[in-house]
Amino acid sequence: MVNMKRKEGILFILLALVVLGAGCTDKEQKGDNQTLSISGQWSPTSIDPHISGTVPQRLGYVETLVGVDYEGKIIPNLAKSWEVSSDGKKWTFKLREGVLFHDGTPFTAEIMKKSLERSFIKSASTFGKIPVTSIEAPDNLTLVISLNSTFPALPAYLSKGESAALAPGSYDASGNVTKPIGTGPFIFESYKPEEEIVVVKNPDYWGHVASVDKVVYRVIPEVLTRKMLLDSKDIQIAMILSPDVADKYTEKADYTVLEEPIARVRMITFNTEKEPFNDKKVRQAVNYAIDREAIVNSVLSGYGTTASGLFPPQFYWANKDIAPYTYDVEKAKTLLDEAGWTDSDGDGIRDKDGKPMKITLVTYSERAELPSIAEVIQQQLKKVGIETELKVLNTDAANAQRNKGDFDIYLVGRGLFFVPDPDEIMMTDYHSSGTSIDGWGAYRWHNDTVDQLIEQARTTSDEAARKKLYDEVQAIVVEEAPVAYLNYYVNIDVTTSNIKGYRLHPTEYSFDLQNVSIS
Amino acid sequence: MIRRIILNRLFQMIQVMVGISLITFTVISLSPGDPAEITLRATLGTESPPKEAVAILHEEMGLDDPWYVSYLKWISRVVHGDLGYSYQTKRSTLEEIRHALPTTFYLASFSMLFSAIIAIPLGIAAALRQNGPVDHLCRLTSIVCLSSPEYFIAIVFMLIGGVYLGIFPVAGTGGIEYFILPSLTLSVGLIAITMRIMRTSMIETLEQDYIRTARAKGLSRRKIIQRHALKNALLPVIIYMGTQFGWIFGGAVTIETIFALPGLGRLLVNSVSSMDIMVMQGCMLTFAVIIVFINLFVDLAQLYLDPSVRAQGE
Repeated sequence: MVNMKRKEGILFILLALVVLGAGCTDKEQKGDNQTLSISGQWSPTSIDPHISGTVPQRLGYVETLVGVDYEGKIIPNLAKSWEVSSDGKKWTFKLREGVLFHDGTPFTAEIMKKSLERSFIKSASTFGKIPVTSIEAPDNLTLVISLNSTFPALPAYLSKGESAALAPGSYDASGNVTKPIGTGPFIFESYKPEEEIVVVKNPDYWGHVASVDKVVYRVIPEVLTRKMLLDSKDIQIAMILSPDVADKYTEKADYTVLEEPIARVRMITFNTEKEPFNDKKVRQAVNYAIDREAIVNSVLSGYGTTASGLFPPQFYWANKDIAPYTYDVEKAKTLLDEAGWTDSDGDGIRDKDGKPMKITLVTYSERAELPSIAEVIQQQLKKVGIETELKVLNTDAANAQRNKGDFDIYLVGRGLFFVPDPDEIMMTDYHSSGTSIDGWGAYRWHNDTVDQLIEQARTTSDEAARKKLYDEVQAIVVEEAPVAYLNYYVNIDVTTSNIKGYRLHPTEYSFDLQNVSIS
Repeated sequence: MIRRIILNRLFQMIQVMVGISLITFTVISLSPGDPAEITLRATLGTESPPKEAVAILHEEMGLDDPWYVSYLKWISRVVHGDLGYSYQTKRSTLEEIRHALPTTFYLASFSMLFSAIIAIPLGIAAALRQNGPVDHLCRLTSIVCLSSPEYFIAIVFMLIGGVYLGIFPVAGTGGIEYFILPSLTLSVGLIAITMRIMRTSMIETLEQDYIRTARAKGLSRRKIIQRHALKNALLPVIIYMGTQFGWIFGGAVTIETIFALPGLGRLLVNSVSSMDIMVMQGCMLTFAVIIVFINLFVDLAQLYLDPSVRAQGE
């Protein structure tokens, strides 16, 4: 009796395994139907792109008036050109002709007007800054936005996914989005919150038509899980992998590793209100004392580019002509001596007027590599005779200390391009109106020339003229050194080697999946 | 008897809910940072959300009210069934929880199932042949299971089951097969302890007088276990597993994150890190309700299984 039961039991287990095995996903491409499976950690919080537009824009099922190129510069997209009146208050956008929404509705200025008005309401926190008085559609292909004061960053704001064009058919009777109908190279098919989004190819796209038929984007928050999915070939592109994980793929022939610096910089801010960093020479000394290359190699496993200025060099807005602070320990020591900080008692720590050179470095742990970088800086400063105490707190506690002035050096990771325009970061981090209040940038630092340049750039709409002004600001900031730039974040994606045409965007504006093919 | 137990538990549920919501409120008001700014940081994906937006949300969230005013306002909404909505997704809290609950329920249920199937027979076997090979193996396995971090176990299962053998899906949601690896991972720690409890409980039960009486009566070992010992030995095991079932609902965060299961644990942690206050409160309340209900169930099971408890009531 018992033996029979045991045999049946074993049989049952085997059967169960077979059934389960049959039920698992089929990884082969079926015939002509090409499906691209990708994975990242972001999940849109709503099916409505006017509320949560980053992922829809990256996947390509909605499009904005303005696009962003691979240098972080704004370019025509659904708007083929734009100009602003001489007083800076009236922007006229000429729309692209022949564009159709995915349900066949023609893309017109009237529909764009309604869509934009809805965007400004649904994402008031993003667009509330724009001093809009009215949006008009004088003809089918012209959109006029009137402001009550100048706002040169307007086109940059119109590149944000939340301002994407949606067809009237996307909404139900109460104005909520049931199915986002956009103009992009892909058509929205389904959305499971926190799980996945599926899109299919738009064969009537006005631009480059996609070669894959379907894209499945899977929301997977953990790096290791994305790695596993890549290893089991469940996905072909794993996004944002950590350096140590991605490193393992560099030797593998059936995988490709891609990396790209993005508009996010790791930097330190000096407390310019008290000793020792109220003295420019001391700030410059620290700039020379830090071995940026060593930080990238040791803490970031070589994945990161050293920073000598605010923007990564491939960006249009970067001032590439600034002479970087080299790693020069002797120069640092000389500057410190000149500033009056010498080691008079021979204990290895410099002092001045009887006070030892002991400083506090505050940082936070949410961006995991910052505490490690802090430790490296601590060692490097020790070499030139500065003793550093480290304080690693959580983001809000760290920021609270910074705002109180309870720090000497504040180590942060700073996002530069909320929109692809320098005005925001310049005003918040380097203009005296921004540095004198709570924030993240230069601390209580005031430079009249910089203030003037930034203010002038706000009233000029000519891009080239603005670039000149911002270039000068960047040069002054590096010279006066209220901050020290360390390195830029890089995004690292790994794809299976049969993926061609995939490219990382430096502002993460779009995945440009219409250029991707599976061979 | 039963009615008394149920009423007791319901009363306890209200106490627990009030207690938890008060604690959560206090913690939020004591945490550094402005909840409005933290919310916007998560929504907009930038550390420095526009100041104007923060001010507007600050007011909308009623953050300038003294905490008891906020709390009373919230209580009055809750008793009318309004748990508010998520600042991140704009969906109602109830909808968020309703969406997350089934996933965690399946996860917890499968874990319980695997644990029961594996731990109970093994524990009994270990008890019956104390210090025999099975007993030693179980002890060793228990220690290994308990010393391994959940994350590590998850990765191992994922590698073996998902990547190398390719039988189970690595992560995500779908049919039942997506729950196998996560549930197995979760059950590892459960099995370790359940097995030990089963063993100890069985040993103690077998030493009881009434067992010796049954032996004297001439009953076979198997019949003794089946008819007398099992029911009594299972009691501590059921109580333990009951408490674990409740904890899984809010505590399986690591598992849910690694295997990309959009469950209640993940919802709770995400709501904490983005200061999504109403969702946070909603999750805590759900958690409280679930735990109390499970304790109630355990009470009733105890009643059924343990005659002495029944006798006490009469």
